Parts: sequence; structure tokens; C-alpha cells
Amino acid sequence: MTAIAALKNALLAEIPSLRAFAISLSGNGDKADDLVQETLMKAWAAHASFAEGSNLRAWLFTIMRNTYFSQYRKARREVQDVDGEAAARLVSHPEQQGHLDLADFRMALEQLSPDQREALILIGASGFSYEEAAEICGCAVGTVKSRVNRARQRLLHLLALDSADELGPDAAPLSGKSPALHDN
Amino acid sequence: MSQNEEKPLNGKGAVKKPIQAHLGDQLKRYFSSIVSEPVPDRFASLLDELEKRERSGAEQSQEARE
Repeated sequence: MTAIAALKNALLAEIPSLRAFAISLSGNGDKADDLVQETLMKAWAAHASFAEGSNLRAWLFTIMRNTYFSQYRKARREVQDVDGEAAARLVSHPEQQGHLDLADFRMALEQLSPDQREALILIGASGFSYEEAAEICGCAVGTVKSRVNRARQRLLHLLALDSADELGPDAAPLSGKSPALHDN
Repeated sequence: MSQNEEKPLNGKGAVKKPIQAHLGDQLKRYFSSIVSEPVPDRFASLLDELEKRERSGAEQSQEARE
């Protein structure tokens, strides 16, 4: 296989993860897929700078988040913050504690600040270590930890779990099996 | 970096472990539900296009040298 074909296949294989990260960052829809497209084009153009044998996904995520955050900062100056509105739409159902609908969860996730959401996704969902996440975000490991902690607290609050001492009987397995959100 | 944002959490910091694990499960379910969605065709087409351009570019520079 030629180097070009290998590059193409490697990028193709990363597209599902790239889409998930893009949607996590920017919400569902065309914007997320545009972000994937831009990331692929930048990665293609810059592939000479990718160190063979290092983590391709981490490299691609870095390109994507830098693209997203530079656009986000631009857009912020133009568009009014609508956090309050969206938060008002978020309805919590105390009787359903521990039985969170994925749609509710997604809505709560959207309420987090972009840097908190990014940290939580990298650590809790994408399986990166704190060190890798810090490298991707271009910040200190302690900063990632702090953002993840704050993100968790905010999520629990939004999902009205912060006052719950126990989860409902149909909650997912609660011990041992899901270490990804635990601090190292 | 904002001091305010990054300072360590005080007192009420730690989220209870079972709830934390539950949150972790939700997060992974959310993410993997997107990962398993079918990928729009536009990306494969884009990569085909980039590959084609790169190949024809390489041929052209080869011809130029000859």
C-alpha cells in the first residue's frame, strides 16, 4: 500500500471518533460535520508533521479542538450567549433519578462551558489520560483535572443528581466497572 | 488562564463515587452512540478527492523533472 493510501485509510478509520468529538464540542448538525471536514483537510495538508508511531487520534483531536476554539472565540464576539435560555428548557424529573434519558444527558452536557465539556469528553468518554488530554488542550494537567471536576459537579446539578443520596433501582452498575471518571 | 476558574475545589469538591460511576456510564453511552452512527458519505468522497489531487500533483512534478 502506498503512503497516500495508508494515510487515507488511517483517516477514514478515525472519522467516527472525530464526529463524536465534533458533535460533543459543537452540538449536532452541519456545524459538527463541517468541523470534521475541516479537520480532515488540515490533517491531510499537515500530515508530514505527524510523527509516525505517535497517537493519530490525539493529533487529530488537537487539530479539531484548535479549529473549533478559534472559530468559537470569533463567533462569541458576534453572537449573544444563549446559555440561560437553554438551561431554562432543561427540565429535570426527580422521579426518574438514575434513569436518565440520553437526550436529557446530551442537553445537560450542552450547558457546560466548552472547555469543561471538552475535558470531560476527553477523559470520561474518549479514554485519554489526563496527560494526553492536557497535551491536546495545550494546558496543564491540573487544569484538566479541575475542569473535569467542575464539569461533573455542574452536570450533577443540571441533572438534579447532586441532592440524590442514591440512584433509582434501575441505575447502571455502580461500582468498580466504570473507572474512567475517577481521578487518578 | 483565569485564577478564579482554575483554583482547586473546596469542601464540596468530591462527587460521590457511585454517582460518579453512573455519570461515567452515561458519558460513554452518549459518546459511543455517536461513534456507532453511520458516517456521512461526504467524508469518504473528500478523502478520495484529496488522494486524487495528491496523486496527480505527484505525477505532474515527476513530469516536470523529466
